[in-house]
Amino acid sequence: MSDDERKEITSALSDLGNGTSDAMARLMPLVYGELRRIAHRQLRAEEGGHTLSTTAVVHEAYLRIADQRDAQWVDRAQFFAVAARTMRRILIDYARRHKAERRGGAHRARVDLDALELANAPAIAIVERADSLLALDEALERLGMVDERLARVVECRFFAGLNEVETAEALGVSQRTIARDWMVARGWLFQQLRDDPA
Amino acid sequence: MTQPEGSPRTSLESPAAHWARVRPLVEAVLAVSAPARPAVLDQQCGGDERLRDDIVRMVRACERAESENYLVEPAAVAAALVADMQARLRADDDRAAADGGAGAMMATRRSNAFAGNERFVLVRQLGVGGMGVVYEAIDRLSGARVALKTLPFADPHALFEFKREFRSLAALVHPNLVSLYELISADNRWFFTMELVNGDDFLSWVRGDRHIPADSASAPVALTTVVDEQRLRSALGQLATGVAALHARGMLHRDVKPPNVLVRQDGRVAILDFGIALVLTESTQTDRHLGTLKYMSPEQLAGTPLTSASDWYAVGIILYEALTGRAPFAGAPARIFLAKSAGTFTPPSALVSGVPQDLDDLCVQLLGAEAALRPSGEEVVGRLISASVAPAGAFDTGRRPHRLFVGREAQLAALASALDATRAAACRTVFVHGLSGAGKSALIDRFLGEVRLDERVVLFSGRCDEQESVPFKAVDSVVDALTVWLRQRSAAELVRLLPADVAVLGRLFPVLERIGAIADAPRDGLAVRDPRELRQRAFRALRELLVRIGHMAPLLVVIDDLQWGDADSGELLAHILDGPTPPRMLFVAAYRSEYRETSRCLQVLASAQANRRDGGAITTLALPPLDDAEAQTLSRELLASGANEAVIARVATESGGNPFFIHELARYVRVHPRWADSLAGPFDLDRVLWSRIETLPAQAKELLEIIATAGKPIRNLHWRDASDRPAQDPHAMALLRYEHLVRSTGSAPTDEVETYHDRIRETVVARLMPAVRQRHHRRLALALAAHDDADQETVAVHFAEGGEPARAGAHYARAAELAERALAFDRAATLYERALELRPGEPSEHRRLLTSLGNALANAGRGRLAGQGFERAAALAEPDDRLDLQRMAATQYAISGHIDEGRALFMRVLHGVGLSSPESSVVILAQLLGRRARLRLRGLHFVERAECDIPPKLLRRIDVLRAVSTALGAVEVVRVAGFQTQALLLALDAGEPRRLALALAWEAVLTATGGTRTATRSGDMLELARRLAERVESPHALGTMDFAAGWVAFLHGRFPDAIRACALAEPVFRDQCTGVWWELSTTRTMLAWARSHCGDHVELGANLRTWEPEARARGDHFLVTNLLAFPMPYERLVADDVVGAERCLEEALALWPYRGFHIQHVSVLFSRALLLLYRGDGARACAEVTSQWPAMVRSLQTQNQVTRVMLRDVRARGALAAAAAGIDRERHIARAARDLHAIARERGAWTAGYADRLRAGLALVRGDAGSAARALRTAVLALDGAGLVLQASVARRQLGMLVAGDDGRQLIADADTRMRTRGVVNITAMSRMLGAGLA
Repeated sequence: MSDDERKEITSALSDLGNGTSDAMARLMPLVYGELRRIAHRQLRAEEGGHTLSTTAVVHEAYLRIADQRDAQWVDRAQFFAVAARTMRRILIDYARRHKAERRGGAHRARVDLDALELANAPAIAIVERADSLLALDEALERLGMVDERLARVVECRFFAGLNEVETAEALGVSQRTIARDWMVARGWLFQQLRDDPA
Repeated sequence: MTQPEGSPRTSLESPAAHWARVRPLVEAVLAVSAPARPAVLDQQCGGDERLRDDIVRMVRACERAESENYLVEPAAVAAALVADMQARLRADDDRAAADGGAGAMMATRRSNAFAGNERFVLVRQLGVGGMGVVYEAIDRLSGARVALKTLPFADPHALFEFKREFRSLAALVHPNLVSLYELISADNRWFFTMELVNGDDFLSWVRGDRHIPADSASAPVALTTVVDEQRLRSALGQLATGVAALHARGMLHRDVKPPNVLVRQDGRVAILDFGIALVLTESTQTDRHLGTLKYMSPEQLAGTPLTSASDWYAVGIILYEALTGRAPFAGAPARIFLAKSAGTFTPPSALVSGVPQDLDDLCVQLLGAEAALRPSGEEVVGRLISASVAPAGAFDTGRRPHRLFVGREAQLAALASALDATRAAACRTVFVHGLSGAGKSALIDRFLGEVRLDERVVLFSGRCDEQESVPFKAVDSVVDALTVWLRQRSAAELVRLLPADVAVLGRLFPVLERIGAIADAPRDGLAVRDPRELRQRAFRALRELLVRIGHMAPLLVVIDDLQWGDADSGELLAHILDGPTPPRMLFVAAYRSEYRETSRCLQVLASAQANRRDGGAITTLALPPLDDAEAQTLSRELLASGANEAVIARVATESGGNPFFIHELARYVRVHPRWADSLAGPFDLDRVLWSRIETLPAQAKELLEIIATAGKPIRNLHWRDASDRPAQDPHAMALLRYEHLVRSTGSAPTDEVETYHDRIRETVVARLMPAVRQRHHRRLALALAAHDDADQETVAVHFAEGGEPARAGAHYARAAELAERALAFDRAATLYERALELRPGEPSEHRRLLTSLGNALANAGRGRLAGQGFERAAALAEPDDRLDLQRMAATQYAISGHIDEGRALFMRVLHGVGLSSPESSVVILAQLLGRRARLRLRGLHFVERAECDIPPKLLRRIDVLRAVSTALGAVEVVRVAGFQTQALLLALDAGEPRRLALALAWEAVLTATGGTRTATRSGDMLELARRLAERVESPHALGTMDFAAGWVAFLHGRFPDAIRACALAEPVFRDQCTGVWWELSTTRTMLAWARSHCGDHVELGANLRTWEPEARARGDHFLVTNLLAFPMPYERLVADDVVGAERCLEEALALWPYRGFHIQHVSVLFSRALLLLYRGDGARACAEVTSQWPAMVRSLQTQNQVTRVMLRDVRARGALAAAAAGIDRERHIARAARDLHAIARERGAWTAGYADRLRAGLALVRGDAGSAARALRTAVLALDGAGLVLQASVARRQLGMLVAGDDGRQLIADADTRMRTRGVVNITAMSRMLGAGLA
């Protein structure tokens, strides 16, 4: 991460705290890059065996951004909220691209031998999951309209892999609330996406 | 999903409002248990059925989400996404980099510049070439500076081009062309390395600082020449030679310009950047305008096909600039084009004065507008290089000998018939192999030439390159050919040809994705998690693809130089060729015979094919030397015009039928026509080879000398160290390789290089001055010695040849030690001998080596030689050491079966330490009893003393006595017991803990032979011994404690304890001690015996399979006999192999020819009795034991309780079996009763089981089933308690036969199961063998 990027992130986070409207929009590309870099590196370092978890990526991203002298004030909770959101965006963008590729095949990515070793297993998962993930995203969009916080909870817990405590911290509500939200949100999504017609 | 808007709601309500109303109710319902819910719902919803419905459904969804863990495992899903994304992002990166950074998805910086890797450290960027970036890099493996050209491939087409570029150029080695080294695929990047040339560009070199940048030359101002004519002539000659070499290989440079022609400080010209050089034959198809405008020929500017004349045009421009300092054409591109096409320019001599006439003429002709009229390459070179100024090491314009082909009719016919055979739906493999230079490639070229005439045949031919590190390197070029072919197929054809999983194959070989149908193939096949499985699928896909092609047309796949292949390629090929459904095709592979044993690829293939069912489908064609007629034909063709028959015959004879040498000889004749005319003077291969070697540049020549001196393949990193700095020039090696003077396994530091043919080595070595030769040897030795991994023997050889015998000896000794550590004892012994020869040195060193030699020989199982080695060492030793060495020698004699020599030497040693042993057995026994009595009186008290405080003589006595005890223990029971007791007495006097511990342990064992009644005394001694041993912390002492404890347990009938203790001791002796053969063998004997008794057949079998061959290899008669005498025949009987058991016993007796009655004899007797029982011949079992009984008593074997009880027991059971069979009934019953009586008087729990079993047998024979059953019940308990599992099972089975009904059947079934799980094959016979009173 360059110094410029770092400054940019800290200032955007502070704007987010002040309620500046475009702060989230500015932050996401920055955090996106950081998260992606971390994911890259983790996968490289952990080839074989270890499954990369988004939680680890998000946490490391936080440490990297917070561990800057000029960013001591970075609010962990704020950051987690942004990261969760970004992670959702990353994954959905990705699933979308994947789907497009399968359909069109125009700009296929070449997957090299290296990737064969590293990423073959997850590559399968994505084939099956891209559709369901996109459906989940759409449903989550609707859920957000009905109950904004429930959607945020799903972002934190599902997409960023945060636990209850972290989610509570990120969203600034009690852990009990998060527990109840999480249960109801899953029920809501389940009914939307999985429930058989009554 | 049927309700996109969520739950039904009242029309006025917004979804959010509805949810706000529903959610608390849902939570309320969820909060109570199921029975209470209707009430809550009633209360909350009142009569609103729709609301109630909504809530019920939401509650149910929440519960199902919970129970199905819906969305609970984000990690797995997300990880899948992130990882896949990662792979794709990386591909994005590559593509983005290839696109010059365009198309970045997000506002993030992409750092894609190659930053080096573990092997290559980038020094600086040299430039950006046609396809990739070029860096100066340090190859950490070799330490050499190289140029590294990289290309981040975004698409398979670029990769294909890149690989082809490399392959077409790597084989080209010429002093004036930059050498390409290695093609590498690593870290998802492709790059290659090449010679790094530090030098000036051509114009700077020939014009010095006065060179005026050509662009600035605008006005035709007359200038005085400032060119350095001498430099110009030399550099221009080299430039022309290099360009001609390129053309000779069928390639055009297409971008000749001063920055691409560098001159090093030593004046050598190197042409670089063949980045856009294309294979000549394809140049006509390309429409790409490459090259630099200024140097482009008119035809290139016009876009018409290029020829070699186009490159010469560029040379002409350079020459013009060199001569005049300005360009011949200037102005706007259109003007330049017109001027070039018209050929209108000012001749150099008109611009500057003093231009040499010949160069002026050449320049003008080279710049001729008509390509066909420009001088040919041959002419240019000829005009620039007169014989007198030809630089040393310039070659026939880089032309490789044209491959002429003669003979080999049989091989061609075999290939043709193999191809024919594939029409019958078969897969055929033909391996063509021969020594380097035997003409493999020529044969294949000829065959392919014939095949190509048949348009139906689909041919994929490739070559495996020495200098590549690419995945599946042997198959890679074949897949490239396959790709080209597939691209020419119609979509409809591809549909039929491509297997379902072809996308997976595309992952292995990205080049295949050039084919749209493969790039867009369904990726379902990639849905496999296991990389091994994915690889298998890719293998299957390639096979399937070939199967389909094979159905369509005759298919031929050819790989040349398969020896350079890797193991992966071997596996892939094996999968295709040796799988269940191989394609219908002919697979031809050529390899160099020299590498058959070392090539990974060939090894993998060979082992796969060894298992192949239809061996007939594989043909191996050896390429022997050409016969005389063939050799003559070839030389005639090579010599062509006007060669006389005598010369031809000489060439053919001298070549020995090696085509490579015929080429060599013919070349010599061509270059020396005068010799051919007169036939005067000597003509032999050696001279011919030398004539070429002689002209090598000094660096290359010295390098060749070093490689020849090495005498065998030498690792790259080693010769680099052994040569002077200049010889490290990678170019020297490239030159030698190109000249076919050396061959190597590759360019990695651990790869090896050797002379191309042994004749070359001989030629070089024969001409080395002795001093030079010695110097090379010495430097090789020093270089090798600096590497820990170098072969010590090789170092030693080179030191010896390098005139340093002492250092050579040291390395021989080191080699010997390593060989010894690797358990290569014979080799170790030979190496010690060499060390001894070379290293007279001081006597102590000499003795040390002799001792080591003795040890190596001892370990090699050559006991007698070892003994002699120790005796030789002893002769050099001081008197005290001498006794030790003699003791070791005596031990070796004794254990290798030379008992008499051993005994005699032991007596001398005993005498030497002031001890003696009487010969009379009566005296010996008396002495033993006397010593025992003294020991009793003396007690076990002692004063502990350190070794240094004890007279050495006393210590030596103890050691000698112990050595005699172990070495002669098997054959001289009483005498050895006497020695042992004496050793203990002395050890107690000395008080040195280690020796005392050992002596006590042995005494405990000796005591324990008395049986269970001695348990306390031997236990006390063991306890004391262990306390001492634990203090000295010697593995040998500790191992001995366990071993002695095991032995004592065995002698006390605690067999499971014996197994446990000996199993602890065995690995200690095996892995942590040396020179403990006796302890190890005895431990193993004990372990095998105890396991046999306990019925641990599985472990026993495993042990025997390891120990027996090992003991035989070591010449350990003692252990072999011990195993053959009991555990092995026993194991054979478990497997119902009576004949095998008998054979073991016969061999045991044959191996043990010593007089007397030893434990080995007892064991054989016992085993024979068991075998007879197994066969149902109880009477003979009984009789044989009885007949040997007196001998056993005489030899004191019956003093041993275990021996005594077991032999009595087996005799009694023999007698009972005989009685049950009605043979001599009364006498046999009486015999059994007497033995039972004797056993019943023995002490020890384990003997009780034996006694009860006999009681039961007697009762059975007497018809008293009730008593028999009672006795068997107690026998089962006792035998089980003693861990004698198999015997207990037999007793249980016998009991089952006496007990009526289900109980009995259950007992029998139980017993049978137990026996079967222990591997017993014949349960009835085993019951006869281990039961009592069964007929």
